[in-house]
Amino acid sequence: MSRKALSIYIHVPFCRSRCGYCDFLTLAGADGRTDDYVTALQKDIFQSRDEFADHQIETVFLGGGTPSLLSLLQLADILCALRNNFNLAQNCHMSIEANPDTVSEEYLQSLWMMGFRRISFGVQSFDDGLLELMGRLHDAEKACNAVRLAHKAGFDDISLDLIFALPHQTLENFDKSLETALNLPITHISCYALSVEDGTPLAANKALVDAIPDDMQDRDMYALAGKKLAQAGFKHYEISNWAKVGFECRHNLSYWIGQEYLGLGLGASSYFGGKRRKKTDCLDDYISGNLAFAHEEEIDKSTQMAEFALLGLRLTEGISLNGFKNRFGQDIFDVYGEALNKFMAQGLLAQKGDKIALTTKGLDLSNTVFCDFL
Amino acid sequence: MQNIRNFSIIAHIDHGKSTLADRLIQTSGLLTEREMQAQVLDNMDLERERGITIKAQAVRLIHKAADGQEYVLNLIDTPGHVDFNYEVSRSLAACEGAILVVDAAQGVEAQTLANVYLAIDQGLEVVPVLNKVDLPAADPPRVIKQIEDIIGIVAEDAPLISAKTGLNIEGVFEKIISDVPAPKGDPKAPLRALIFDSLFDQYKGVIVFIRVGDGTLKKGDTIRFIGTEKDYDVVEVGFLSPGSFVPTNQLSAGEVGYFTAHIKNVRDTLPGDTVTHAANPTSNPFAGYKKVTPMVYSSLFPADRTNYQDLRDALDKLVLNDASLYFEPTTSIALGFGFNCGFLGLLHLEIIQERLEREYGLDLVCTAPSVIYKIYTTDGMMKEISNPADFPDPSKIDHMEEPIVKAEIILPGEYIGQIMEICQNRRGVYISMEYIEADRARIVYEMPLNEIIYDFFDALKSRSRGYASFDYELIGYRTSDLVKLDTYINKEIVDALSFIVHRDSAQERGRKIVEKLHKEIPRHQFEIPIQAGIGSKFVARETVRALRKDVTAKCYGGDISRKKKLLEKQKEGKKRMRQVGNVELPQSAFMSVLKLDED
Repeated sequence: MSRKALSIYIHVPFCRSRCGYCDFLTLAGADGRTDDYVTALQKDIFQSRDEFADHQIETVFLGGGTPSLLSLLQLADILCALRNNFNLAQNCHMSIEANPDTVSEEYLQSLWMMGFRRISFGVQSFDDGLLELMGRLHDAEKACNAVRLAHKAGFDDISLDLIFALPHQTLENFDKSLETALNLPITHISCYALSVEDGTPLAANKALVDAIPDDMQDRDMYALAGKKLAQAGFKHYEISNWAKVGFECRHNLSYWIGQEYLGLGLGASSYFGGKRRKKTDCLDDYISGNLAFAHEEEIDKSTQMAEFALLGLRLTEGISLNGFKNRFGQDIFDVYGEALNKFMAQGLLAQKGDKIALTTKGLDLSNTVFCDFL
Repeated sequence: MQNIRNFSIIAHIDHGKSTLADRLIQTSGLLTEREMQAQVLDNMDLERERGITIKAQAVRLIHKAADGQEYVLNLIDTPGHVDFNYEVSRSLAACEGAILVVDAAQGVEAQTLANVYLAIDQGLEVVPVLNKVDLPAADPPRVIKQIEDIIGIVAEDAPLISAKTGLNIEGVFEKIISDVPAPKGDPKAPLRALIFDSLFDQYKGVIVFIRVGDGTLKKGDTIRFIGTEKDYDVVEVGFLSPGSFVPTNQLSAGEVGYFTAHIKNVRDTLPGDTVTHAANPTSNPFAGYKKVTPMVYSSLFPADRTNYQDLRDALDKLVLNDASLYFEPTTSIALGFGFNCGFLGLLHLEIIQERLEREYGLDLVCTAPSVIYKIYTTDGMMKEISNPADFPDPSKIDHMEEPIVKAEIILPGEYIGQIMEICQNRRGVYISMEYIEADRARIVYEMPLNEIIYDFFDALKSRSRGYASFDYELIGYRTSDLVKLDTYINKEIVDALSFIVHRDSAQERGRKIVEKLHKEIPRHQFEIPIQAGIGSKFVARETVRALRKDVTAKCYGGDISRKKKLLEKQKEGKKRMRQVGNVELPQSAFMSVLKLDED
């Protein structure tokens, strides 16, 4: 019997402190609640087992927040619950996010022993001044160390996140961060342009916001990342992601190609059975056992088609014309012909055989393209 | 007739006219507290919010005076703003007296003066009243002296009141009865009644408010409007009790009331016109009837093109009650189908825009206000234009004329320098300046109307921190060197962004316009030059850089719904854009050029 593929995301909302730019669902200074939280998570996992009895779990991703703030015992409890209640595939790919300031050699070794095969470090920059400015608790040295220790502990699938277009950042400065990153034993890198989100301390700090490089410099940095990473053998596979061949993040790919996923934990989102769903984002609620989905949104066929396009186009290989037809029974040009032709004429999209993908210019203006698919 | 008093209240905005009207109505005992809606006379929400009264109405009060007799007091409400000067003068013509309400702290303002002079011109007895005497800043002796010095009427025995608290309202009644003359007129003479307002009611048709000068009007009479030459059979006559129409048998000389006659169109019942009997017309109609002509023009377009019919319906409804509003269909390459509208003045324009948006839920794009220019062509013809699109080929123009107003500004002395600078910059010609008291001056300029309709009022308010008050009246046309200033976006003229301006102001105006547009036009995939030009000569330029980045860096499982919403918002914004050539212009771009003085 073939089982349906499912990815599982587990949210760990705790952080030591909140970074100036962050608008994720994170809680600083709530370390005292982690035990209760893990208990609730175990319940959440248990309560989901029946619905997914016929699914096979292809990937598990612990994200945050800072999952590496959890103790090894707490992580073991979570993994145990997963293994006892879900059908984990033989080669189920397990990822964890970590902050460089939270990990020791022993901790990393234990993660490996428990079955984590991919680790992703939130490094953001290798410039100590910028790290401090953004409220990060580690310095460049610590970040390099963490990556080397993870490698030593057995991880050969290591990713790190960099943010560019930080306040006061120059092209040279970003170049140095890329250089440092490429000297580390990594296989995957995410480069995000800083975005100023409403309600964050960064947004409220006008002096900092004013010091953010303008769009021209921002794109120069993005282009630099593309160039340097390509030279180092990394393939640009998604708007903000590069990987050595075979090291693309399987879990995140499942989002972009429209596969089903289950999100467990505080505020986690899911997509299965034609609906997007979301857990409560109130910690007290969640811990007290309010584990049902707090929001549900029906994704009808036209929305599915739109999402197929605007998520699929995030991938540099683009979307498959046949893939669209097989999935929806319609020719993509019958549905989106006007937009596709317009953006191909403008040089934002290009067709190559069965695939339509964003061009280099299209990557910079992807939202302009995506709007027309909604 | 001896016991009738017909009067108006005149005041500067905010000096308490409506509050006093409320008090008079309340004190006269015809309304209970519960029935007293705050500010009874101002019917429209908008009026209440802006603190001004747009449509005149009349209220009949019964007051038992100290002499033991009962008096009928007809309070005729008047608009307080210069735009409605003509309506004010018609309302005043229906009265024998006017209460002049002056804020005991603020003193006399420019609009007060304008309306007082109107009242004095009409031969009305002006009864000054000092309001807000309960405020700490009130200084009655100073304001009394001011009234006597500036206006030249006796004010030493003016009642000191607080309309808000009800203090000394009785004093106002006694003053009206003692000072305002009883009406004169002959009930037996041929009917001669003045229309001072009209109102469309969907059940009764037009309700015509009149002051009967001579004769008697009864139900069933066949009447004639002398100005519009229309005859009707009267269906109902009556007077206005606060908040209700009270039918009665007749209205005769000296009385104020209303009648209905199945009249479909307020344009047949213009304020200032005389009502008489068709069979026995008066030979002595009221003087001064004139058709009001719009002074300010602006084209209104629905923000969403599909709302054109809704805009038309809304304008059709508004003109039912506002004969001074004029509109005709127009088209713009940039903005599509809309209406070219004529208004009495800037405030009138703003009120209509706001009513369309608020009461009819329409989202509008308006072009810059314009005035009527007289263009004399080389073939000896004269053409009146208000729309820049109608500006003729300059080589065919012999000369041009533009409307000039006399602008009167009252302001604290410390702002004189700055305000004079504004006036000079707007081609004002200095006429006079006088100190009306130690620290308040009145300055008079003659200025082109097209400099005032722009954003003069905003500039005045901001440079005087709100302390300057301002009034204007049209004094005539003068020869002027005007040019058509065009705006080019990505090398194409945008018709809705053309202006008629004086040659000397053109460059400065052009510079400001392109600066504003530069801030409003979103970046496109290509560079967009924004230029202002006269004929083939460019006078200003800005460039909107090409869009380099429009990307969401992160989009993972939990973000998808949220990011999609952001994209939907972005798409919604785009849908509302106006396509000009291959440039998409937001509505705000068209609006931004209406206020150039902000920075």
